[in-house]
Amino acid sequence: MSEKKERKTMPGEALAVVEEFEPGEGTYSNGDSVRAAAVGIAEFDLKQRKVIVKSPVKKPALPTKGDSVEGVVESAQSNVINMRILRINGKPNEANFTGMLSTRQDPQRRGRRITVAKVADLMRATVYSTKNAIIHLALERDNDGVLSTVCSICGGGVVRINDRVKCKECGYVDERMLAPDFRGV
Amino acid sequence: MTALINEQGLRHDGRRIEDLRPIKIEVGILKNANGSAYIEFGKNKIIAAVYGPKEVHPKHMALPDRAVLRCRYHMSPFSTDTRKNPAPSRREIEISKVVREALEPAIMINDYPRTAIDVFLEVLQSDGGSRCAGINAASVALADAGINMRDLVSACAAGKVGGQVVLDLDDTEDKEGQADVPVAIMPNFDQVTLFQLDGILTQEEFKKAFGFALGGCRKLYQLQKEALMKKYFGHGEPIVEENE
Repeated sequence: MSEKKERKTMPGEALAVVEEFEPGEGTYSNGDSVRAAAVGIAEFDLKQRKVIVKSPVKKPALPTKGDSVEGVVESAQSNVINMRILRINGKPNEANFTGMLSTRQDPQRRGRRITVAKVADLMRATVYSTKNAIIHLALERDNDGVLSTVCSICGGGVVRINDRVKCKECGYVDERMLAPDFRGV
Repeated sequence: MTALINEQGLRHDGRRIEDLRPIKIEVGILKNANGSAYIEFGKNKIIAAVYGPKEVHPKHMALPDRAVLRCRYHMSPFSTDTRKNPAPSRREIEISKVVREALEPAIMINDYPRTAIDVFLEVLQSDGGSRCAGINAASVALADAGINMRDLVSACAAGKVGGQVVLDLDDTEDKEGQADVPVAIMPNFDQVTLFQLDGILTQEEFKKAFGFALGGCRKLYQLQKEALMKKYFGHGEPIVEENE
């Protein structure tokens, strides 16, 4: 006997009663019944007694814990950087979410006081929490850091010199937390 | 002037009192919106576009525990017989509000805290009952945007024309008639999300009009489902005709 059963469904349609099945992804329970929350195919797992709705509709991309995000630094203060998120896990996102990177708590700094990023830098970070509905970012992963920047004095192109960047125009040397795949301007 | 209802019980456009106008719904017509729909409801032609969930601007408008739903109902300057000023009128602002309130109970806004969901309704051609048509299109567009919903929202109006209670008033009947009752429901829960009454009805007439509107909503629900089925599964489910 098959352990799965399928059915096309629309938002709000009753799929099962709560005594029979648990609500899974794409479903919700309204107390007495499990209902679909999206257009899709309801899959009844007769072994686990769980129902999910697999939706062909593209889900809204919201940053969640563990996501790798890329974006532009909108403001950089001594301990906090606000970054406008442009990509979530490599996929473009036009929702304009803003993440907050607390540089004071960043474990990679290890007591050193360096400039992590400056305004208009393109950087990659990891979402470590969405507590209090704020997107908290951290430079947790090895490939996190600044991906692209320009000279903060003259706006010229820069080249990487170890952990620093040097302006090709004026020679000014600035510090950043650079990603391994830093690509200059 | 033609009588609104003739001796045979037919309305000025040939419909019976419990008939809807011809309806066509298309899903996913706009590339740049997260979700979209187009509805032709008689001579009404409306585009609905949904953007979001996205960051709220201005940021102080964000709610910590749920999304902000924002609706904009707008009539194009060429949507009426005489040019309409494109600036938002008092009526459009009111309809934007009632559309938002009709849709909000069906959307799981708690799934998207500190975000905004924008719903735009652009009326390309109007012929009475555009708020109901707009709600139907917006509901389908929200489902097309992948936003979690408790149910679809279906809307339809009933009213009183020529002393008789009728379903789905067009512009002429709306202007010449005695009452208009737009209703929106969440069909799987039998819950009303919009109810307005413009005009005067007796208790009996009111019951009949409300019953007509509910019946219309259920037919609309079938058409909404059919449109979504067609977009995502390539075919429509057969429509159950209650009157046949």
